[in-house]
Amino acid sequence: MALLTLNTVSYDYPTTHGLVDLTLTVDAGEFICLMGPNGSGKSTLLRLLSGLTTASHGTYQLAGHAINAAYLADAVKRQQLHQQVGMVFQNTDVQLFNPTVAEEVAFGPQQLGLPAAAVTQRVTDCLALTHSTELRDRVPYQLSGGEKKRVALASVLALNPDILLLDEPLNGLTIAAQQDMLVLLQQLQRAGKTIIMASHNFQQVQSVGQRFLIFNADHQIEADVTQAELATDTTLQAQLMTL
Amino acid sequence: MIPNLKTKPLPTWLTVPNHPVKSKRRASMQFLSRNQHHLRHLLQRLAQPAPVQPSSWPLSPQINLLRLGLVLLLIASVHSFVWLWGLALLLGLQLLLLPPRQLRYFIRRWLLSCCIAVIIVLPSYWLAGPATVVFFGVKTSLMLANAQYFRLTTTFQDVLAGLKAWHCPNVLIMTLAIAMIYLRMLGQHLLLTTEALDLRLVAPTRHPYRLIGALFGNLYLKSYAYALELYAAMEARGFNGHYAKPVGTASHWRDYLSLSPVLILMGLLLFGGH
Repeated sequence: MALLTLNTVSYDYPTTHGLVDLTLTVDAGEFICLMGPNGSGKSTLLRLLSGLTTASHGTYQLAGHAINAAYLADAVKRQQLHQQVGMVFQNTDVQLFNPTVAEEVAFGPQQLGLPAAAVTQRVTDCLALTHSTELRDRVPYQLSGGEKKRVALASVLALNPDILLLDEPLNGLTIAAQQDMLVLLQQLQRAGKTIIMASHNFQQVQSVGQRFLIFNADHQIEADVTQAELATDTTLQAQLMTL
Repeated sequence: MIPNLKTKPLPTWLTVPNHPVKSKRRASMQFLSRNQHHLRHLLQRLAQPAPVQPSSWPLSPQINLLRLGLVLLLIASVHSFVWLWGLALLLGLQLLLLPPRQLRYFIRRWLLSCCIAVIIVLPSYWLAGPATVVFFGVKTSLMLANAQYFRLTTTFQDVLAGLKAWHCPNVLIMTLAIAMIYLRMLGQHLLLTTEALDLRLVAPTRHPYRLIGALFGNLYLKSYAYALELYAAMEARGFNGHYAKPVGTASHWRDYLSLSPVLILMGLLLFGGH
């Protein structure tokens, strides 16, 4: 059964289109890479999937629930949605607001009402997974761009969401840190998480993505291909290399 | 291809499916959503719609600004419906060049601003009678329509360029420029932060005011750092506190052509009698 279903979804900004007639089905456990030029709708799609915005037209269903304005107006339902869907923003600066990294990661589990020992365990695990243990007592505001990305991912993972939405998570990371993050994402996917990631770097993501959604400048999905299909399509590969 | 890195196994809690829990406490998220809504509204107001003037007929910023000033002055000065009708026709011709999407946006914004203006004009009904109310209502709505058209077709940078070209005091230009950039930047930052917070507020928080304090503390630090970076960047590019007259703002024949109807009407008003 499909986990996410978008049916002819469009999203309009006040003076321009964000998404146009998007129809998409995502199964649980998929690793999807969103690719396309700047402003083609990748971030808008992630915002829509996370419930930060609602579609101007069309329907969005998550695990059988229609995610619309009425659904999101219900605070309890919205909180349940946010337990299922975690998102790492493109600008992780906006995501970190606690006094220390440890408190930042603990924020979500504490909200869930977990016992103190479980919260500490989650913080330790998430910081270790993202190679950020040494940042534990640092102030998030003073971290470098790459460190902020890692801490933001740790803070989202601490909630154990089933769906991970990542908006350009590799930007600002060193090559080694990018590889570490991709390995971690692959592990999470093997553990059953659904991962949807927007990226510009085709070379980095081509080996980890199972499915590639390629947006065009008209805010539509131009191609929806699997990794195997993409491997044989040299024209598309060449196109993605130039993004 | 990713090298086969030595990986840490995932902790057990991260490998089990997440079963969302319902909070026992009352969900009180209205504060955050209400403020997000206000912020979006503010940003929408501050957002500059893309200029829609066709590139084959671009006007220089200073003439565009002068034109608006003269039209507003004309509307304020005339005392006849015929004149207002003529000025409305002039604007109508320009509106014809707008794409339908922008035109709809224009109408929506204009009607909204007119409604507010009418409420302000209405009290004069008791003082001066219905004819005056209608006349001033029409005048105000025409002024608002012109201002709205200017806003829709002119970027904020062009307004600044126009002010520079008319030798406005540097302090005014700098204040306007920085206020506009800052307001948008801070508004955008705060909106994104509240959205990020919303995504991680998976249950009603026990300490909402502590959260708000953290948000604003963070915003203050970011704005301070941003201001320093902005000023350093400006200095690095040779900024010494004075705004130079922008390059390429020389007037063109089409500027005078577009200005001519307004100048003719102004001349008629001043010397023709009415």
